Amino acid sequence: MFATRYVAPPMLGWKDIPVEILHPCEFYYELLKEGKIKIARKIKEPVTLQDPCNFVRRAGGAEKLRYLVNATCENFIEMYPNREHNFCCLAGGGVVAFGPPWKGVRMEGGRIKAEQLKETGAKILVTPCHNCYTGMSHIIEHYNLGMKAKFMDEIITETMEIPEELKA
Amino acid sequence: MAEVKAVEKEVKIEEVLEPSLDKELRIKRKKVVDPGFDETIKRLTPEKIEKTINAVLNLRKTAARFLAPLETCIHCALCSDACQYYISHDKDPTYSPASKLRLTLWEMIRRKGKVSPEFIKQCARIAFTECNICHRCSMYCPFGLDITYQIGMVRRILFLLGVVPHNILDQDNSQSATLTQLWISQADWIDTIQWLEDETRLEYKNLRLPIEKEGAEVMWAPLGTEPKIATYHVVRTAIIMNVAGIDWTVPSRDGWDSVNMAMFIRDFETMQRVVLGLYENCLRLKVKRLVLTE
Repeated sequence: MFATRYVAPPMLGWKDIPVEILHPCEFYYELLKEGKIKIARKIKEPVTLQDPCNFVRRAGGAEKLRYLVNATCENFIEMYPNREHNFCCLAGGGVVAFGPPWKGVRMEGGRIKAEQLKETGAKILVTPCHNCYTGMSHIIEHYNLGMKAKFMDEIITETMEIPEELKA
Repeated sequence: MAEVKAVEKEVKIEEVLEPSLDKELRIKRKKVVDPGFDETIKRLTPEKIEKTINAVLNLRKTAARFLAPLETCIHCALCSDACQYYISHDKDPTYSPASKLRLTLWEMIRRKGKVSPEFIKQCARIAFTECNICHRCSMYCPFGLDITYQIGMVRRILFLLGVVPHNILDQDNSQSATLTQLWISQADWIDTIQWLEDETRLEYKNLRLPIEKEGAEVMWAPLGTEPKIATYHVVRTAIIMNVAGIDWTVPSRDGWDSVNMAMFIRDFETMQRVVLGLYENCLRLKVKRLVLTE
């Protein structure tokens, strides 16, 4: 999203982007606000939320994420620090794509993230970003934190109401 | 803070990464083998390094954006406490964002690009594997120096020199050749969308995953990993779109993969082509909005 929305257009010499671009969480936020999707059952286990750097620090989407989590989960625990002050998942900046040789270096750097996660006592970690999902799953496994990373689309499809006409 | 312990106990062997460097530039790290660093520096010559660094920094013309941070930084260490690598390594000062610059870009500027291949290899280690470009340090700098941008320009120099982690360079090459992250052909992409629609319809009646629908409201652009190895993301998106009753589509032509590995290694040329591909598909299909996947 970062390259498409912010970095590349000025380099291409464009004054503005030709079509509106949405992060999926901005899109889900709209769908929920407008009542296009409804939540049937909320997740009861304690959840916490990872703020992706691109969407939160650069695009300012922190409150939209919180709206989504509060709409789908009953017990939401903030990690500290949070929002734009949150630490990176250690997978960002392409670091996760450097592959297996660098996983050890990444895991060592993730100690603060693991401490931050453990402090919340949550059982589910909601991650709205692919990099975060992979990075955090590795950290949870490496530090044996006993929680599970879940993608935002997974949380929504698990909790939302499926209309009768779609049920097979 | 809660105490955490790693599951596997690795033997910690740290040694000076590049012993041939000047004393004040030596850092201690674990050895990691990556052909993207170890093999590529063998091709470098001092002339090539000097030429590349000076081309990017352009110290005669656009120097201010590189020189200003170098002359403004007072080493207050607010950026250090912002960096997860610094905190996780028991506040080892060589992981501090300011010292990451001192050990890479600022040394290149001081020496006017006259540095050794070993120095370049150490720069690659620092700029690629010890920084997430997360912008946290830039946010806390009291002078508003964009440290992250500077690290990004180190990555740009390294990319032009070809010293890039092997794994991500492959993905960048894939983007350059196919506009997708993982060498996915157009046929594979269309086929994947079609069988996913078929299978999901067994559980969700009349679900549609429309390809090439001109004039749709929304075009969805996934990441290359999704149709390749994590197809459940495509399925979930299709379910959400269908439940919400959105008029949506995916393009059939190349330029559907919204991942940008090229941006991470500052391959600006490929980065722009990937983005241009996405926008061209949007305009061709006359959609109003583009929904990405991250």
